[in-house]
Amino acid sequence: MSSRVITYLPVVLFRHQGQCYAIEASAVKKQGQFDRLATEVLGNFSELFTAPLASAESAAVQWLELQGNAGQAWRLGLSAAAELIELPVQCVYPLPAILAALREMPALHALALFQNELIALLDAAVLQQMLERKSTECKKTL
Amino acid sequence: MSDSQLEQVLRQRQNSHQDIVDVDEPVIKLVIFSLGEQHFALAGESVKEVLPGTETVFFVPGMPASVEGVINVRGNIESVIQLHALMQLPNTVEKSSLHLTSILLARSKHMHSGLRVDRLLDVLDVAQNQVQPPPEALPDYLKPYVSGLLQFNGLAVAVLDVDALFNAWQTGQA
Repeated sequence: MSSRVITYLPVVLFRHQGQCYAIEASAVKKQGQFDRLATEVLGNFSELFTAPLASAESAAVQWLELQGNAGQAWRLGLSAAAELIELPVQCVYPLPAILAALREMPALHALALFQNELIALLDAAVLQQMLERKSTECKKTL
Repeated sequence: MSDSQLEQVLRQRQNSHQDIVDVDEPVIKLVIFSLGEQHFALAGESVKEVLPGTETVFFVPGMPASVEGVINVRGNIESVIQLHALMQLPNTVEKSSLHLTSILLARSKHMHSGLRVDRLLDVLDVAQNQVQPPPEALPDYLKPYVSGLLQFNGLAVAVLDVDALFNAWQTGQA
């Protein structure tokens, strides 16, 4: 069986605090506008950062629905709009071994240098675990 | 029968040959640099390349403060780490003085990374016996990383073990 050579990697790109992040598009099922009263999310992306943000910066404006680890979909709140882009594969790099050892965000999986900007490629499954852990910790403290 | 003078001279010459000490001391190449007011060196064999400090460094989120980011080296990315924290030195590098700094592309057996240094001072060959064992008085936090001490232009230069540096980062000791 011959495998097709991949030349572009479709990703869903979003920004947070001036940095670019992306999730492989195959893990994203839907996206939509965040409604504070109606949208249920597992967590907001901004919750993963320890530095406190002004509420306007951390408030979710959009959600992504992602394929969950147990087959169930889950939603991630984003404080900025997300867009679908195709990354040429030659722009994508595995995380250097030393950065993999030092990373404080376990979901950080790979890097891309695209249009003179660095994109942090995230592993959606690990992101889900991080948010679940965060959510459990919050419930314990309440 | 007594030896001729010639025989004696030849014997003398032969013995003197045996007394010749090998003065070809093994030499090692060292890359000497400063971090703040301190001076350090890495073995030349562990430094693949020296890049100017003005290389564009792309910030990588979710990393400790000692990680500056990554640089693009001829189509590949290489991490850039600051040694200051590991050496317990304040990082005084400001954007305006980046041109004075250098990035050493260092490699150990299993890892490689760019290391930001404040000033590259010299790259030179020194006789191995000029590198003394690290002194007892060396601060505890430096002991795991310093493999020797060298006098260079009146300065004390601590020779760093690149494997120990990378190991500290890899195992989260730094």
